[in-house]
Amino acid sequence: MKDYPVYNTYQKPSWCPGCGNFGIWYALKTAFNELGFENHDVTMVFGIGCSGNLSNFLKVYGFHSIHGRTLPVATGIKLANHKLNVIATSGDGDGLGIGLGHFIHTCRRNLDITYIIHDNRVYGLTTGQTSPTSPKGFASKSTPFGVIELPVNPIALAIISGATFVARGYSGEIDHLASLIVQGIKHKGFAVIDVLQPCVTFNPSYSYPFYNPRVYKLEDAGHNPEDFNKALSLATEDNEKIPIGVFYKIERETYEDSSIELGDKPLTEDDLDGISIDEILEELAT
Amino acid sequence: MGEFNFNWKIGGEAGEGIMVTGLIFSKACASLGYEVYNYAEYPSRIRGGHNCYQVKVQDRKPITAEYKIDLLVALNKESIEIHLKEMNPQGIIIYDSAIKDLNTNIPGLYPVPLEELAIKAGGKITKNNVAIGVSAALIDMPIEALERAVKKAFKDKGEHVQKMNLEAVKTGYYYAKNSPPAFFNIKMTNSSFVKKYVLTGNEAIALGAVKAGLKLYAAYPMTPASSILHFLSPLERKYRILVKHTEDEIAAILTAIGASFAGIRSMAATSGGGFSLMTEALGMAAITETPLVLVECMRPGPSTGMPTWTEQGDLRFVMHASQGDFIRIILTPGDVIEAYHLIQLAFNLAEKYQIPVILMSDKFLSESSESIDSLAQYDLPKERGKRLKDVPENYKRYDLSIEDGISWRAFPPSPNGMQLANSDEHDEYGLVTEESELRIAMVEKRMKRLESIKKEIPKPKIYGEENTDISLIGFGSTKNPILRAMEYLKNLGIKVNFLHSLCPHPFVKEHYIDFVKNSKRLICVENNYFGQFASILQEHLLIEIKEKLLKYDGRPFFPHEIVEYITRRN
Repeated sequence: MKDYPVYNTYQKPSWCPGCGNFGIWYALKTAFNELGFENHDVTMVFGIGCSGNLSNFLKVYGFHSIHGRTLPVATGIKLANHKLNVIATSGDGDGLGIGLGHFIHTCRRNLDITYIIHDNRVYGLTTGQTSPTSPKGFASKSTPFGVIELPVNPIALAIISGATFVARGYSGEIDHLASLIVQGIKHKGFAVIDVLQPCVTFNPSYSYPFYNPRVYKLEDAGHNPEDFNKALSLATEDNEKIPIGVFYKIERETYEDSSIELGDKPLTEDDLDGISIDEILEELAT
Repeated sequence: MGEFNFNWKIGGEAGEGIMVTGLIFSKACASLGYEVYNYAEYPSRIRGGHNCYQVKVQDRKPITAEYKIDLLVALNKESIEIHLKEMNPQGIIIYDSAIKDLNTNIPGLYPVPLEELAIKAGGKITKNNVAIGVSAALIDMPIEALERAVKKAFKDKGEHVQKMNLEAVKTGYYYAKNSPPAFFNIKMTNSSFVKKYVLTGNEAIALGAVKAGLKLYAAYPMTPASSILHFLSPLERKYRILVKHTEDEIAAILTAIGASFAGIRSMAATSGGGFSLMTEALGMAAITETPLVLVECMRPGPSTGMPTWTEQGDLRFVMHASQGDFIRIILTPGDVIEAYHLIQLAFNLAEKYQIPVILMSDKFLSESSESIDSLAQYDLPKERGKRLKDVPENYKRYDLSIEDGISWRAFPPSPNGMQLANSDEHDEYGLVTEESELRIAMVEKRMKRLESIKKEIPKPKIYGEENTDISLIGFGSTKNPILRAMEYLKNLGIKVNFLHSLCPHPFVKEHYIDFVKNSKRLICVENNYFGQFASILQEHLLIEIKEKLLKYDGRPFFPHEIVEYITRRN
């Protein structure tokens, strides 16, 4: 595996050895390299949790937001300067628990943002409680008798909520994941990549020995990502095998294109001098 | 003597369009050079329930909503019953003669066949305009003033609608001229047109923000802040202001923060409930040193409270909201001009000091409208603070070596500008740290600017003479009622002065100490239960404020209440 240390900060990752976050970190750097990005070409928004600690290990423009709140910050950045390459990441607890509302609304909005979910099906940084993607029955510090609720299905949710690129990656398949990230960034619209990511410490039953024999690639299976119904059925079927790759991909007008006709010029380049309010004031005149 | 002093009110059911009618009437008055102040009361529902709109007309300021009515337009029986107690002894009640079962012994009743005249003019729907025609006739307003105001109000509604409404005001006007009530002695004398503007506090806030270079506005609807959203959204394309109705207030503040991080001027506005949701992100703006402008339009709480009424009960909340120690500035305009001016100042202070600045209004200021002559002299040059265009190598966003604690901002995608805006405590690049010395250095870096901020925030304004027997103190929207009460008290031979705070936080002792020390009888006037501003003064000045005039029924202070309190205890 090739590393691209140009994207590293001086801080060394604080994740447990074997943590799936390493795979996502490498895949991101591989993707940046493939896209020819210099450090300043990337603006990333992070949440809180083990996934959010990634913010300290990538030398890019970063915003390490509060728990569950990456997408609205990313939205503000993208609207202010729609020419930026904006990537948001969050964990499954972060983005699918406290931040689930933002997820659905951002899918509807279809901004040209790439969103990576570090999905380890557990709360890691708070030392092992159930997460919204923990399977039913999962015993944890907060659910010693097993989770009663059904898990959130991020792939199906993204597809029905209006995301225009929906994929699943696996942190144990770094090159494949990197290629999904490249496709997600190149895709014009909201790209969701749910990444299966082992938490070797607090959720060892969903680690590499679980995923390795089960994952298969959708592209190898000849899946047509423009097929909405097929994508949804793949996302919802209860199968021994776990598909990774692009589930769904369509073209739809982005928010920034349809909103206020931003055109080629981002709002950050607007001149603030000489703004006249006379015309509006006239409406309030006697 | 000869002073024009007139209070007009229209009451009816919600959905009858009395707000629009009231505004037309007030604009007609203002067009003749009078000052107007418009105040509306309405329930939190769309149809049904009692609505009223009142227009105070005077030939000079100070002006505010007043309790006693000279001329009431009652569109239904309920309006007469509700507002009878507010009538001046010589007041007149215009009502539809079709209203049945009315106690005709009520003094001042003036029956007019409003609906019948409206149908004659072209439609039942014009009933309100018939009534303002009648009102104009009673006060000798030149009909041309009303015609002008109607034409302007209906200019986009097509020729037919415009003509029908013009016909309605004329019909009402000439009806009243031909069959006037027995007695009505308040008469206008102005007859030439003057250009004035009539705007609400929220319109002033929105205009000030546009002038300041607002580029993104994010909000979730909540009374009484929603009208800022409604005012700004049609301007989106022409002014290139991205107006985003977000999924909730949490997203609103975070979208504004994200946009500010990227380099533009952004703003979010809400009321207390929405601000509750925003509190976590408020602290994030502080620790990441991202400039943030918020507007908090107060209404009575706690919780849903009384959504369409007024109160000043959120001051302590906004002062202390979000965990940890950090600097924020709270600005509290007292009228539309101050609202226009201070929102511009909010943008300057936020960018200059890289902190959150919150402008606080309330339903009374946000939704009441006031006449003004112009705004241009209250424009403020933009100060955008430390912004780098070309970023040097080894750039440190949170550079600790900078004397005043305010480090340079760089924006994506500038080469060399990489940084982490981190909600965790961080080092000079923004990367996480939990190290003792660095933590202390960063806290002190953020706090260092407090001294310069205290020198720059607006001083309170003092009204009235020095050394009076009575001194009043307050903040925000109580300004106009207090100033008007001072006029009445002056006529009674009672001299009062008044300190009006435009920035209750951070507290600058020197701004208040002399006024308080020199006061003989100090009274704090506030629209809340605890006397929140008084408590801030007590805490910082180590004094006890013995007298607090407090009101928390959802209504603003009416000047006579302040006058009565003072004369009763004097």
